[in-house]
Amino acid sequence: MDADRMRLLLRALMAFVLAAIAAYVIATLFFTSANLIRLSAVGAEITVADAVRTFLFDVRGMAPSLLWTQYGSLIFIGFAIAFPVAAVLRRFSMRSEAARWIAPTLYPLAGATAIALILILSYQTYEVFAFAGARGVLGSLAQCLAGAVGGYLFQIMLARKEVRS
Amino acid sequence: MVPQRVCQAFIVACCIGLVGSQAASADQSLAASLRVEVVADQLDTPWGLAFLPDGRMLVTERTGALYLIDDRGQRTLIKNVPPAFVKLQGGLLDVVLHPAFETNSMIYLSLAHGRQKHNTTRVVRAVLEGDTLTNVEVIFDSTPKGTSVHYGGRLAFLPDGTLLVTIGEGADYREQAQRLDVVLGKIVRINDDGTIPEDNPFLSTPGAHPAIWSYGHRNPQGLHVDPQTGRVYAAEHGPKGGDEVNVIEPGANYGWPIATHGIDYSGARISPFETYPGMQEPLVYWTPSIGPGGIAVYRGAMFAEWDGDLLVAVLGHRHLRRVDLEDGRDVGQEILLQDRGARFREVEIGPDGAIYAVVESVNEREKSGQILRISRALSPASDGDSSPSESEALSQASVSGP
Repeated sequence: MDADRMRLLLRALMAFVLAAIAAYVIATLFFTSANLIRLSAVGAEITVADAVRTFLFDVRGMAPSLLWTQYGSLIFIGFAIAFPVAAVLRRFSMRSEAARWIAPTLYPLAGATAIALILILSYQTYEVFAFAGARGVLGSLAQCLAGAVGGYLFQIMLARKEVRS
Repeated sequence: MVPQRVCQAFIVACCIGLVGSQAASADQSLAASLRVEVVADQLDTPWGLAFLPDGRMLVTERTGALYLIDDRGQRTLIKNVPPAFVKLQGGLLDVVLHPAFETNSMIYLSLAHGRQKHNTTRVVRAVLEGDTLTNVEVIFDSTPKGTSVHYGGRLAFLPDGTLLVTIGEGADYREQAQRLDVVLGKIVRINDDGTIPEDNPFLSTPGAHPAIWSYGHRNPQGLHVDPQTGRVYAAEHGPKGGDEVNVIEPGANYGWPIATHGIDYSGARISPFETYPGMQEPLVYWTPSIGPGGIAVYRGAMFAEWDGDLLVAVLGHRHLRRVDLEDGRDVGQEILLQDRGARFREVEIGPDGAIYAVVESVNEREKSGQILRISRALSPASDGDSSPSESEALSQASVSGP
């Protein structure tokens, strides 16, 4: 492998890690918010300080680790499967004039799909929402949106690097 | 003068210490000399147990069967048991006798009813005639939910003849435990025919379900009325941490999910609050979780030293736990029978003063449920059947908060 290819691979890896971290933090923000909104709806008085404290706890509590069932770990694993698939599809779509328009949507779609699959598979496994912040249609859509943002960031970081290189 | 007082105080302290250590050592030797007999075995996830006046037992299996078991372990399958929704934690749950069973032969069953998308914790009553249930009648249903976990399902009669029923919050519906218009995450109180007692606490609260007795519960699978004091104890599973035993007062809010000592399985917070104004603190809580099932207050002559103590059947950590209660406070805990390798589902005090435990998953084997009779061995050293229980006195500080 020549130096340029190695550099490109390292940059892609860096973009992947940053995108996954960003998606995880945004997903956790939605997650915490959804839980706190539900608690408020049944009478809990939650201050901004309570919310910030809870969010920081959740960021630490669900963070990626060697335990693959952690939500953060699952997002990393999901992205690690989804983004290479999106890269292949992107390459195919760029070859066709008719399908070129789809190329910019592929990474965000891959990120959203990865999180949707995490939620679906975990629900099928436990038969309850293992990730309570994703309960309900809005809760699940918010999590998928976080995945889409992660995919979009990955695409931007990759594009910038492609331009630079 | 001062040195004399110091000496007196020292001597008194030594005496207190000596007496205390002797009492502790007596308790531990008692635990070590428990005699454990298997009254019935090869049961499929047994859940509830009730003693008939003649000493026989009614035992439910979560998978849907109800058995009558005599003291030799002979079992009779009871016919015409209403079908249950058997899935995950759902199925046939508890059984209790009507306080006037000797005259009316009436029993009460709790069970999961319905289907995956729409199921309830249901209470039925029926007359036990020989080996058949007759006059089966549905007397209560919780609010429907779409999960097959967290049913609660324990039953207990109060001294006034009304029936308490624990109802779980269904996991995905945890906030509903705080809503008074929904019967999820509640303990309800009904008359023996399912009607609502006229002195229930939320009868005059607009929009509230009239059966609610207490609220803010997660998955209460333990319920016991102390026959001596009438005090009601309930044990409920927390998530990751925050298992609780509560003393139940009518109209009280037990906090879930706003106030909890546990966090979610995902590692996220359930709530920013461990305590919250207006919400009851548990009598005992366990973090990390132990998985409490049924509970009973020991009253009897066989274990006079344990009179008034709380026995907790522990599923997750697989033992029977004694909570030493003094003046209504937890002053120490002891782990018993951990060597059985069994999930302890329920505990009852028998008419003979022995402790009866319903256990399942013995050494992880299927259909390995048992009914254990735990009594005091006459001579621990010479008794081959006695099970040398792992006895471990735990300091309150290490396992419980308040």
